[in-house]
Amino acid sequence: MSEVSAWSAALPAAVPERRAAPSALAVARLMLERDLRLAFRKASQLIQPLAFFVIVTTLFPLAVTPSLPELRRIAPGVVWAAALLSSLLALEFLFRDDAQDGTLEQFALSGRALTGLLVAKTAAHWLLTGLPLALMAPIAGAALGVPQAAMPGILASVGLGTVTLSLIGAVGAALTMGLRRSGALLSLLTLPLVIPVLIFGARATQLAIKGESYSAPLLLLAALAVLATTLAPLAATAAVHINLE
Amino acid sequence: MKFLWMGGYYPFVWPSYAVTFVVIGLNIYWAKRLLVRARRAAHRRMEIQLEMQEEPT
Amino acid sequence: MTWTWFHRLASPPYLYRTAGRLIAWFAWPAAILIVAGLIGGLWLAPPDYQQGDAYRIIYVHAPSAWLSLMMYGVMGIAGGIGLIWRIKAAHALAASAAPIGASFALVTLVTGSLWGKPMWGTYWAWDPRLTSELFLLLLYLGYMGLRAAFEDLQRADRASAVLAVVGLVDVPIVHYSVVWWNSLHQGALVFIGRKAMPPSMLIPLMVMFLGFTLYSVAVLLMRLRAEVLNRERTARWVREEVGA
Repeated sequence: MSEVSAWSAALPAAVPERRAAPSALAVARLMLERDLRLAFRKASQLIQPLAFFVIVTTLFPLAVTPSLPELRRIAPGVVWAAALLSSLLALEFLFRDDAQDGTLEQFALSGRALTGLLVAKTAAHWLLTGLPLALMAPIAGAALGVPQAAMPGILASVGLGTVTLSLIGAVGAALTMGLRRSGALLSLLTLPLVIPVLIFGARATQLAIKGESYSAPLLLLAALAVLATTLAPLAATAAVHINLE
Repeated sequence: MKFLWMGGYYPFVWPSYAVTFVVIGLNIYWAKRLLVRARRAAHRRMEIQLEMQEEPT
Repeated sequence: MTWTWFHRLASPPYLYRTAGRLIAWFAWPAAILIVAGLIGGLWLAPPDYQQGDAYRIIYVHAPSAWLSLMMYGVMGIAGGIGLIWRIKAAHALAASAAPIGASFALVTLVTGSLWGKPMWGTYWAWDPRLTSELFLLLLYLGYMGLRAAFEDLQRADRASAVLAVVGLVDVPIVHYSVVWWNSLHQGALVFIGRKAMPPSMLIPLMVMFLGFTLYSVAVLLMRLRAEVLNRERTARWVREEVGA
């Protein structure tokens, strides 16, 4: 119910009073606004991935060692594994609610290209998890003894890597959106596909911590993001159509 | 005997071959079982249909 | 060039009968080749000057790895064909390929670590090929898990096909990223297969590759028949086929 009202609440603001149908871009922007608005109404959903990220990174000093030099050595792995899992955590609900109350079906029937809407939803997912994670990662890094000079590198690599995570994750979420308990399956589908992100991301972080140039793995991350941006929305659209049929 | 000894590597060579050929056999067995079951299911369905055709009159 | 053969293959009764007729043509040569490869690999080929007789594991390890990759290719391509042209037979083929590929991915991992023990002194080293094989196995498990999660067969077919196609694009990326990762971290793990092999070793390997490939086609056709029969339960031709 609240979703419907949020949708209609978003409508008049962004669509000027004219009869002509809004452009695809405008629709996508509406979708993005709606998703962000909904997320901010349920603040717990917003905070959970971040809190999860903090908890996972805290486990390591407790479980391994509190000595900072040693933590610094494993910091790239800790930050990246935690970011990967946190990003996954929010995925399950990316399309779930909209699929269950029929909103997604309405969108599919609206005659608008579904791809644009899904890209908007994915962008919202990144803004709500990827970006906060990227901002949080340097802080977690500092707690793991990472020098300050490495912070831009961590920020950039997590920010760029989570773009790909959100996009590939959207495909997994679209595939499993009709299933009841899909959490473990979603992880099983998504994690093997995003191994390259983990590898390049952790490498960039490692180089940043060592104070060396990390542009090579960062460029590879960017390449992955570009590839995922071009292909993943198509796959996600196909998956949503299949699940709505 | 020298053949079975495999230059001392028998604990690694023979299990490798064993695992491989067990899986080769299992794949054949699974495929056959799948086919037999599919045939049986189709057969049962046919019988039920025949019965239903005979009984109503 | 006509495409009629392609369209006929998409017809279930034709596919069922053709597959049935073809199986023997693949199975018997496969059996002969595998036996020949075994004799050649275990008996005729000389021991390796570095690895002794341990290298003989390659005659089952490498063909298994090849099968696990080939079946993923079959799965992805058949899934893509099924998605684009809505051919049910292609989906049946993709569904048949997955368990075969997964089982050989597992064989590759087991034989690889059995080979690793004498060579590296440990069953599991993070060798790039074994690591990406592990991810391949996980991709197979995800595919089969997704299929099993749907109750509606058509939806299972199409959803898993999307995953297979995405995986097909992703598998090379995963593989090369793992190779790249490994090149940064390793103390050199020596792995056989890169240097040129003498013909006495190479020929049995080629024979094994061919034998395994033919075998996998035979098993694939067997599974495909069962799959087609299951999907067509209510069709008249199935009644004729089973009743006769």
